[in-house]
Amino acid sequence: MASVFSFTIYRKGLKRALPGLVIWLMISAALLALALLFFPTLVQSGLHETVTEAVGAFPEDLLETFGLSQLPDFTDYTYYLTWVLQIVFLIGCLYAAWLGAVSMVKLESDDTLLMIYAQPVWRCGIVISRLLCRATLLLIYQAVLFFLTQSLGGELVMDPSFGGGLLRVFASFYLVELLYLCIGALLSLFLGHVSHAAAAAFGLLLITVLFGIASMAVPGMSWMGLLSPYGAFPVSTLLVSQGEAVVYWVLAACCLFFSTLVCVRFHFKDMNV
Amino acid sequence: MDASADTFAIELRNLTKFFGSNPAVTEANLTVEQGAFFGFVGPNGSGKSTTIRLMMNYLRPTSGQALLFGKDAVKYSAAIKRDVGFVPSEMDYCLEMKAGEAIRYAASLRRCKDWDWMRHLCELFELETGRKIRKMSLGNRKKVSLVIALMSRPKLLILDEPTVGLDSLVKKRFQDLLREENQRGVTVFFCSHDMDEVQSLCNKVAIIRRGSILEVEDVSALSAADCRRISVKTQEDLGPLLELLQAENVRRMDDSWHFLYRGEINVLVQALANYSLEDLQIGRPSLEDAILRYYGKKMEKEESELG
Repeated sequence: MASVFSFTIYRKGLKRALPGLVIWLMISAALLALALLFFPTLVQSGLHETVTEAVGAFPEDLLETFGLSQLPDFTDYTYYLTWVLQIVFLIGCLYAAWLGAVSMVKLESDDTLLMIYAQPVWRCGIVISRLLCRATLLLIYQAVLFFLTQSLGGELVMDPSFGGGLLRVFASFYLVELLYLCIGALLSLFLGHVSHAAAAAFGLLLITVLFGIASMAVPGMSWMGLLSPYGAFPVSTLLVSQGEAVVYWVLAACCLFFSTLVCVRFHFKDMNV
Repeated sequence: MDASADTFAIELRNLTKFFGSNPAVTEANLTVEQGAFFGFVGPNGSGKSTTIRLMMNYLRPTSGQALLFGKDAVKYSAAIKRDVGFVPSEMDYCLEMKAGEAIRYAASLRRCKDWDWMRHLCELFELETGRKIRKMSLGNRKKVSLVIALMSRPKLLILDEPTVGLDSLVKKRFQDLLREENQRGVTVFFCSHDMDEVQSLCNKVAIIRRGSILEVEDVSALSAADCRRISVKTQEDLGPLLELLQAENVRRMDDSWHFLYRGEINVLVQALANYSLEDLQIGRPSLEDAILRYYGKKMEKEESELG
């Protein structure tokens, strides 16, 4: 009897995608490690004072226009960590979107679906197994980066007053990345070839980030923030306190919605094999 | 999945598929009895592979139904495929896997654990299981798909040009295996361009053209009893004579004339006696001759309707 989850497809998907995960992890971990290890040097170098002095030479109005009237103080560790984690988050979202965009179209492009679907499996079973496989890859990715940040983050991240902020941040990252994965998977069903997946992933992330920026910068466009999963959790807030519960529920519901759409679409589409 | 003995192995009911506004399969009606060895032939682009993909639920029908063992191919796809082995015409999948790995993957999906039988199939088809599929020739890739299709000893085999690329020895072994399976009661749905192969293996054949099934007939009846295949080797021009005798499918290759003849054989022999012949062969027409003749009639009919 066929089931909604195929451990065979899940396991094979994990095995095939592991080399890609290792590459992404190496790049992300290297950037993260460099950034965290660079912090003491940054503080000692006096770079912040130098930059503040240079920027101060510009007219006040000009600085206000570009939002530079108050420069972030990178000698403040919380500030610095926020920026670093924001970059890590961006890379994670790109990875998730790419994983999603590749997930279904690859099976069609390389005709593996021709063999898989000749066996007694359900269409939805293929989707669910592939999505869970990708979700596992993302979890491994986030877990490794979390432990790396904890080990290199210094005494501050281990401080109880931090309120478990780091775990909360990475868990929230994971939820947002899952949403990008699901949206990417839906896009994947409309792509003609796996070579289009990278562009689709990049486009998805770029558009949603731009929505977030537009919601903050353009008066009357705050509603665009709803279309930006990337902007759902301000890292600086998450480091010190719990995010709004409704945001978590909405994200979870969106993940469920998009993954259901993927199942439905795949159930009815003609396979491009 | 239990199928009663009076259920057809394959049944197509007004099966239709449009790609946009282009009809790929148009109201196909077909029944294949259990235990049959059924051929499915047609020119390139006639809709053979599309029909097969509709049966296997890779494609959704625009209208109509495909039933395998009495069950709808769309609704019960997963359940039906327990008893179906499929060989696609292309074998470009699992390229990064080794042959053995791909076979184990399929076996795992199928929950098939008859490793002795799989090993036997690999030996029979002389398949190197340790080699990456990407580095294999077309014929060797085809062997992988044959093993995957046969591994669970299915009740129905749907084969889309299964012997393309196979060497003669493996091809013969595969054909012998198909005959054995068919004698065991397995239904074989065999799609091929090789008419000799279809003629030697199949007992019934369906002809498809431009998405429509033109005819379903016994192979022996299709290669008609009232027709003979004549080959004459002569330096002389037989054109006017053959026109007079109403010969069909006349082809001239250098100094050889090949045609189909329905009339009295004595009349032909006496007429040819007036010519200087180097060779004369009289035989039964092949399935290919019959189908080409069939297409010829259809095209004439279509032209006269348009005319």
